[in-house]
Amino acid sequence: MRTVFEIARTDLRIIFQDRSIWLNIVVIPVILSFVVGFANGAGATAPPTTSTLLVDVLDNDSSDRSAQFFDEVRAANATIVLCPLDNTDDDICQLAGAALDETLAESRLSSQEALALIEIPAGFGAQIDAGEPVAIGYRSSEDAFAPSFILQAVQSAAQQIGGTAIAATVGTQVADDIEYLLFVDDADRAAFTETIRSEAASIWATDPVNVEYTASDFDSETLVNRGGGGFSQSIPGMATMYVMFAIFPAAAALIRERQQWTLQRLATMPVSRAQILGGKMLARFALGIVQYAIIFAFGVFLGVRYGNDPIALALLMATFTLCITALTLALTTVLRNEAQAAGVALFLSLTLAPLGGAWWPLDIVPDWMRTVGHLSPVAWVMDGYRSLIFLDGNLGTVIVPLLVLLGLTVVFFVIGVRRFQYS
Amino acid sequence: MDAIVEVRDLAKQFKRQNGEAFFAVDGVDLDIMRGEIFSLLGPNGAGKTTTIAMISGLLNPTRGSATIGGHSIIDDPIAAKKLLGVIPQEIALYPTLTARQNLEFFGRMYDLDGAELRTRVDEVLEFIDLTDRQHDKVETFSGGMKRRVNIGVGLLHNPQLLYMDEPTVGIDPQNRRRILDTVVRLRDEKQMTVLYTSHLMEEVQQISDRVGIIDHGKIIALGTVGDLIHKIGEEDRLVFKVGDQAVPEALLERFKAEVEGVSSATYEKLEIKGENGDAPVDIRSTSSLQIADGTITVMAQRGRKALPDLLQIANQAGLDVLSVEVREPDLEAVFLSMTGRALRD
Amino acid sequence: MLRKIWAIAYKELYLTYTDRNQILIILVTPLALATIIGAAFSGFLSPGGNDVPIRNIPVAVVNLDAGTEANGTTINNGQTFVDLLVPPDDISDEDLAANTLYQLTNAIETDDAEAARAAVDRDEIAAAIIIPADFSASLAFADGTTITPVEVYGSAASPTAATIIRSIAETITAQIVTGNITVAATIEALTARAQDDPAFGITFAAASSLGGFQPDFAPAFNPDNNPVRIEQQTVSGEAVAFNPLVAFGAAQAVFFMMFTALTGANNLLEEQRTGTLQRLIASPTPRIVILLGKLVGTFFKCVVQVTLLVLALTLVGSLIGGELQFIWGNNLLLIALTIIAVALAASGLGALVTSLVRSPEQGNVIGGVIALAMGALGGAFFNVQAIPELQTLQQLTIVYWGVDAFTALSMNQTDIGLNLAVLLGLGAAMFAAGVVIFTRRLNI
Repeated sequence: MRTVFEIARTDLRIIFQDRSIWLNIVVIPVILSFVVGFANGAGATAPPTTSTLLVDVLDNDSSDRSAQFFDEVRAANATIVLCPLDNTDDDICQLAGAALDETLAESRLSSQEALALIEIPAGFGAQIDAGEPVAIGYRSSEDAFAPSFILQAVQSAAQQIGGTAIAATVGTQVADDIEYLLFVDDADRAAFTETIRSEAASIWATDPVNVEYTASDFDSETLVNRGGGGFSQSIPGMATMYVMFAIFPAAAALIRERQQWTLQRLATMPVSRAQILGGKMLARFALGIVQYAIIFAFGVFLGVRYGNDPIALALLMATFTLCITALTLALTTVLRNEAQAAGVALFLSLTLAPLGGAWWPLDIVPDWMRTVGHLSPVAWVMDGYRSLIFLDGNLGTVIVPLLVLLGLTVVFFVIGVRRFQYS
Repeated sequence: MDAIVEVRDLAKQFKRQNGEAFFAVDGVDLDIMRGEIFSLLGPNGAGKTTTIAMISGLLNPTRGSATIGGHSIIDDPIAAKKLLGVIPQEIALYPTLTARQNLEFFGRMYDLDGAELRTRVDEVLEFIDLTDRQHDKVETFSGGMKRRVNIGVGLLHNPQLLYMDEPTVGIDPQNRRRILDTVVRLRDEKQMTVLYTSHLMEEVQQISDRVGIIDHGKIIALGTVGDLIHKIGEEDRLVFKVGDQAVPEALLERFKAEVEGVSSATYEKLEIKGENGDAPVDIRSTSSLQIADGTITVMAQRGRKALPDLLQIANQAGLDVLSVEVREPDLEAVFLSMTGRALRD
Repeated sequence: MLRKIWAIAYKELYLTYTDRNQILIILVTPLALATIIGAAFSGFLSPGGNDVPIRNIPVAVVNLDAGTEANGTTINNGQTFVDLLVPPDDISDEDLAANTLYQLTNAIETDDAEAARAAVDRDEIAAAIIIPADFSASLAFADGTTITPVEVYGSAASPTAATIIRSIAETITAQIVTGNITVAATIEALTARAQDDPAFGITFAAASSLGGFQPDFAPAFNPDNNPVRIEQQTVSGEAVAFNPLVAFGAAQAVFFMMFTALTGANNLLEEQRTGTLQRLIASPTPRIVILLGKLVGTFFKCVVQVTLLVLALTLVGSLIGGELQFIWGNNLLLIALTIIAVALAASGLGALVTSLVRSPEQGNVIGGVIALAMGALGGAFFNVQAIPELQTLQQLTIVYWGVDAFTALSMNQTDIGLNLAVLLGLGAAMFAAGVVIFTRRLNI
C-alpha cells in the first residue's frame, strides 16, 4: 500500500508542479460557476435597486395616456430612468444636449449606453380611448430569453393601462345595454366612461395582480432558500464537469509515461501492476476530490446548502469521481497517442456535461433528451445532488444514483484492468 | 559458478497485423552466471528485445520459464524483480522532477526508505558524479547527464543482476569510456552480474565475459568471445568499399576461384538508411540518414597475402576500389558468419 | 516569398486534415455539442413557434375559494384556474392537443392543500397553485381592500418548470383581475350615477333586486381584448425572431475555432522542440515568412472549420425544425466576411499566445483556459446577458464580437461594421505583437 501512495504522491507532485494547474482547478471553474449560477437564475429574485437603468423613449404621441404609461413604468421599477424625460441637470441620460431621435437611439442601444428603447406610436392615446388595439415598440439589445427587469416594468405598465382601457370600454358597453340609462349627450356619456376609467385606474394602482410564490426549499425561520437559488444548480454542475476536466488528462499522462518509458521502468521494479495502476488512479481520484472540494467550498460562500446528509453527499462525490477515474482507465486502453487522448477528453467532458444536466437543469429539456441524458454518468450524480440539496434527501433517496455509478465504475475498471498494456 | 538467470524453453507468440501468429522468441535456453558480464547480441527483429522484456517482467511468456536468483519471474515476479536493476535505453525519468526526486521515488519502489534511502541516493549521486546538480530538474540536463541519472536509478538498490540496454547510445567517446569502466567496476567491486546489449561489437568484445547471439527467436551461439571466434575459424576479413559501383557476381566467383585461401566473397550494395537502421520509407519523416557504401567482404585464411591478388583481379574487371580494410577475426566476423547480416543499426 | 508562405501553410493543412484526432476536436466535438444544445432547447426552434417547448409539467390546482354572491348567483373566480388548467374528463384527443395550456401542464384538481405541498416537497409535482378561500370576495375591491393573492408553491428542484407555472398563474390572475376591476369600476360608476340621477337610481335598484340587471362583462375577462400590446423588436426595429441555435451554434463554432487557432500556433513550439523549426530557420527563409506561413495555415483551418460548422448547424437546425431552413440570414457576402474576420482574430491570438508561453504543454493549458474563458464569457455555453456587470468584460472577447455579428446577420441586419473592424484590428495587432516577441525569443 505504501508503494501505491508513493506513486500517487509523485504523480500529484508532477501535476501540481505546473503552476498553471491552479487556473484550471480554481480560477476558471469558480468564475464559470458564478456565471452559470446567474444564467440559471441566481440573483434574479429581485431587481437591482442601486444601479440606474437608462431607457430611451421616443414618444410620438405626447398624450396624457403616454405620460400615464411612463408613470406606471417608473412606478413598476424605481431604478429606471426614462430619457430624455427624466434627464437631470448633470445629464444622467448622457445625451450631452442632443435631441433623441431614432438614429441616435439606435446607436445608443448598439453601444449599450441605453439598455432599451420604448417607442410610443402616434395616436396611442386616441386608439386606447377608442378601445382599439395599439402596439408599443420595445427594442433591446438583450436577447429574447434574457430575463429583463425593464421589460417586466414595461409589461406591467402595459397591463395596467390596457386593463383600465378594457374597464372603460366594456363598462361603457354595459351601460349602453341598460335601456333605462339615458345619457344626456355625448359629453355625459364620456364623463361616465371617465368615471369608470378613474375608478379602474385607482384599483390598478394598488398593484392587484399578485401571486405569492414560495419555493419548496424556502426556510421560514432563516428566510433564505436552503438551496441557494441558481447556484445550487451551477455549483454541482460545474464541479462535476471540472472533475472530468481534472481526471480525463490521466489518459494522456499515462500514454506519455509509456512513451518516456517510466511506466515500463516501473514494471521492471518489484511493484505489482495493480500497485502501479492503483497509484496512478489514486492520484487522479485525489485530484478529482480536491476539485470537488474547491468548488463546493466556493458554493458554501455563495449560500448553497448541501442538505442534511453529509455522508450521502460525500459518497456521491466519491462514487462519481471513482467512476470517471475508471472510465479514464478504460479509455487509456483504446487510445493510441497523447493528441488523441486530449481530443477524446475534451469531447467527452463537453458532451457528457450538458447531456447530463451539468449546464442547465434537465427539467427544462424535452423528455426524450432527459432519457438520453441518463446515458451520461453526470445525469445520475446530478440527480443525487438535486435530491440532497432541494428535496432534503438522504442516503435512501440517492441509493439509485449511487448504485448506477458504482455499476458503471465496476464495468469500466474491469475493462481497464484487463486490457491495460504496459508497453 | 552458479547461474543467477536460468531461462528454459522461453517463447513468445505475437500476432501480425494480418492476424497471422508467429513466434518472436521460440524456445530460448540460457544461463547467466553470477558475477559475469554477459552480452546478448542479435540483429533487429531477432527476438533480443522480446527475450529481455520477458526476463525483466515486462512481457508474459507464451511458454517456458525464466528465473532470477531462483525466483520465477512469472510466479514470483516481485521477489525476482528485487534482484534486478534495469537501465533502459530510453531516458526513463520524470523530466519535471529533480535528479534527487527521481532517485528517491524509484528508490521507494525498491522498498528503500528513511535514512537508508538517503544514504543510497547520496552514494548513487556520488557514483554518477551529479551531487552538485541533484536539485536541478532533469529536463535542464545535457544528454550525457540524463543518461547518468538513468543509470543511477538502476543502481539504487544494489541489484545482483543489472540489465543495461544500449547504455552508450548517443554518447561521446569520452563518456562512453567512462560507462564501460563503470560496468567493469560494478562487476569487480560489487560482484554484480551484468546483462548487456549493444550494437557496438568493439565494446561488447572488450568487456564481455560471455556472449550469446540470438537470431530468428533462437540462441544460435553462446560462449566466450574466444570460443566464438575459434568456432568460425581463424580467417581474416577483407572489406573493399566500392561506393555505388555495380559488382557482377562473376567477380566474386573469380575471387573464390583464383585467389588462394579465399573461402567466401559477398557483396552488399549501397544503401540509404533511416535513423533506426530501417530503409527509410519517407525521407521527409526522418531526421538523420546513414549512407552505407557498397562493400565486398572476402573471408580468407591469410588476408594480407591474398590482398594484392584480389586488387589485381578487381582492377582487371574495371572496379575502382575506394578503400580496403583487413580485419583480424573478431566478434563482428562471428556475427556476420552466424547471421549473414552485419550488426549495424 | 508567397510560394514559401503557401508551402508552409499547406504543410500545416495537410498534417491537420490527415489527423483523425484533429478532426475530432475541430468538427465532431462542436457539432455534437451544438446538437445537444439544439435538442435540449428544441422547443424554441420550430418554425411556427406554436410548439410548446416543455410539456406535461405536473401541477396540482387547489381551489379553496368560497366564492361570492352577486345578483343572486355565486361567482367562484378560483374555478377559472381549474377550468383553464384541468381538462374535463370527456375531452376529445383533438381538443386536448389543440389547447396549449393542457399541453404545457399536466394538472390535477385536489382540495387537500397540505398533500399538494407535500407532493411538491417530494418533487412529484413541479408546483401547487393554491387559491385562498376569500379570493373571490377580495376581488370585489371593496374600499381600500386588496386582493388575497393566489399562492404558488414551486419545487426548488424543478426551478424552470416551477417558474413556468408561476407565470401561468400570474397570467390567469391578471385576466381575472382585469375582469373584476372592470366589474367593480362599472358598478361604482353606475352607483355614482344612481346617486346623481334618482330616477335612474330607483329603476336600477329595482331591476337589480329582481334580477333584471344582467350585464355582460365577459369581454373584460378575455385577455385578447387588452388593446395594449408590447412588440419586442431588435435594435434596428425588426420583430424579434431569435433562433437560439444561431447564438449557441455560432458561439460553439467560434469557441472551438479558438482551440484550433491556439493549438495550431502551438505546434510552432512543437516544431522548435523536434528541431524542424531550426531547420526552417537555417534555410534561406526569412522568419516573418515562416511565421506568416504558420498564420496562414491556422487561418485557413479556422475558416474551413467555421464554414463547415455553419453548414452543419444549418442541417441540425433544419432537422430539429422539420424543414430545410438557412438560419444564418440572407447576406452571404457579409457572412463570409464575418467568418474571415473571426478566423483572422483567432489566428492572431494564437500567434500571440504562442509567443508568450514556454512550452507546448504550457501553451495547451493557457490556450485552453483562454478559449474556455472567452467561450463562457462570449456565451458559448450559457446566456450571460442577464449579468450586466459582465457586459464590458464580454466585449474583450473575440467570441462576443463574432457571435454578435452572426446573430445580427441571421436577423438580416447588416450593421456589423464595428464588429468586423474590431475583429480585424484585434487580429492584426495580436499577430504583430506575437511576431515581434517570438522573433526576439528566437534570437536568444
